[in-house]
Amino acid sequence: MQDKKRIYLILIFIMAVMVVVEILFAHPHFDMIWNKTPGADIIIGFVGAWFLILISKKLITFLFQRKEDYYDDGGDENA
Amino acid sequence: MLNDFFQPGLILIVFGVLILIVPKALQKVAVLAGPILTIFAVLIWDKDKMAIMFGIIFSLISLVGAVYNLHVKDRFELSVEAIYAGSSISVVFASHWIGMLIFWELMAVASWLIVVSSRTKEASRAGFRYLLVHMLGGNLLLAGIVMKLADGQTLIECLTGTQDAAYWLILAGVAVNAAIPPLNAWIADAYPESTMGGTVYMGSFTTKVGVYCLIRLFAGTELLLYFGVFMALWGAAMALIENDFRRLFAYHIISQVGYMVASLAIGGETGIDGASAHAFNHILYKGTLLMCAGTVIAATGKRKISQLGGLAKKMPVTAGCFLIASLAIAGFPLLNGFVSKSLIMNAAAGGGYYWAEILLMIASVGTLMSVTLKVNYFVFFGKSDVNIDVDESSVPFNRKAAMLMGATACAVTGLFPGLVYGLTPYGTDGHPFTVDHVTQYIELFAAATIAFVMYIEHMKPKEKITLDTDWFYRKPLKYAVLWLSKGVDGLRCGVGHGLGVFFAKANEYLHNPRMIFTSKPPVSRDCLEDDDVLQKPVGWLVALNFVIFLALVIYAFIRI
Repeated sequence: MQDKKRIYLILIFIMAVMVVVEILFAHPHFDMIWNKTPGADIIIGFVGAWFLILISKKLITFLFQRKEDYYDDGGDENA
Repeated sequence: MLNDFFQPGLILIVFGVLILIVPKALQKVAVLAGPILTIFAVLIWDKDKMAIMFGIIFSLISLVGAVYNLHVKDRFELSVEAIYAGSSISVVFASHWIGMLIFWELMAVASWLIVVSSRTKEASRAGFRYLLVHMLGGNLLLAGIVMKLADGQTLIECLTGTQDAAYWLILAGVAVNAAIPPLNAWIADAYPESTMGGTVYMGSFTTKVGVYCLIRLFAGTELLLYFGVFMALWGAAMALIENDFRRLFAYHIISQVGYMVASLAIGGETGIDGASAHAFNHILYKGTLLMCAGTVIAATGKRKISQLGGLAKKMPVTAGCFLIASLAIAGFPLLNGFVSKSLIMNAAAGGGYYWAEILLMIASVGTLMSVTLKVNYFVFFGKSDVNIDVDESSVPFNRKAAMLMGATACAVTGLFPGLVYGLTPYGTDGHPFTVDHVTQYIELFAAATIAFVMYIEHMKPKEKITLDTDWFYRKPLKYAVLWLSKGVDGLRCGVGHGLGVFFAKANEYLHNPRMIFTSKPPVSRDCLEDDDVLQKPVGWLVALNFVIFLALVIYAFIRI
């Protein structure tokens, strides 16, 4: 738990620094809202990660995971 | 046409054959000389920039792979690896359809032999499925090429937009090699079953040759953009839940190839440069990752992440190279992935494909989580409850050297992006080291790491397998074929049995014709000595044959 809190603090600090740098120095190449808004990438990163974890760990495992010997059948000598 | 044969790839093929026949003392020389000579040949060859770029990276990785495999005694494996690398380079340097096809098939056969070179039962089964899928791809390609030749087109030309039958056939054939879903199951099926060095070679060539051909033939095909983005996300998601160490990377190859496919689908100078640069970098970092994975598996004997852990202190060189390569693959600034991903993002945003830009950023997050965070934590640096007795001194020196070569290349090409940009066809500058790109990636990754750490208990892979599109030919098709053959066999046996019963009964009467008229019981076959029994003078089958023959002769005489 302590380790986790420490990691969160370090990461939040890094993100804060990055947002400040972005506000001060960044010249975005493109014009969409997520290119121009400082800190937009934090939201994309967190929400994207959250969704990926949800879909892969919940949906894909539920639908498609099987036991390791799913494809083996006894006495199948010919591939 | 001769140009398609006498090109740098032929050197590696020749040396691949030489490895089989030179005396043992010269084996290591032959293994190393092939890639080195090929590198020189590629550098002086006269062809367009994209072919030279792919030629350079292919021959470089075959050198690194040769160093990685230097201690291997199995000549067969070394030979097919060299032939495989050589035929891949030959496809790149082919300018006629026929040349491309011949080396494409040679590549498929050589890679199949690499899969089975580990000589395990699983390898032979996975290799068989691999061969079937690749022969299918080769045949689709052949069909398309034959149509092109019938049209009189012998030279390879860009097919974008033609959309005739040959276009779809060639696209399908190339898509098999590029592992575009649904034709992708072979990659996760076969790659983990090969030898350690073999997987390094395979991860570097087949899919990239597919990407090269897609760039050459189908650049700007918008349909591929949807496939590419899907691959990028789905490959990373599958890698996130995968337990087998090398299967994880196989799924991840699909993810990275998805980036390349998306980039070339956007087309234009930036898109093509992005795909080429990403292929170049991918070979470097994926090669390093697979080398580290192979080293770990060879040293510990375990291939499942759930059974590994805490290896950073025991295998520092491997862990260090892995860390660098895993940061590179995610796209960390100062390493090479960042350099090529910038190009691809620029292509997506510049082309107006905003949905693709966002989704590819999420796919980068997926890459970070599935490779950089998950594997580094659960295999190398995290707290682990398994205590594996392993020592890095058991790893041969050449393997460490090869991993270091790979990691260094990732760093160098990352620090000096001009090196890769200079090799690309159009030399587009991705402007990676601008403030907005760097802050974008660091923010993205920091936020994703928070999410990962929040759910870290769930991130440990379970000891299960995930089904893929090969389910269709491994379960239903297999049972359909078995059921059909059992049915036909049962029919045959049933009819045979029925006829046997009938003839056995008929035999009794033929042996003893008087039985029809009397109720004398049947006599055994030993009745030859018994004069009391009326025997037929000749076997009934012979009699039947004679009768039929006589009938046919009479019939023939009547007709003629």
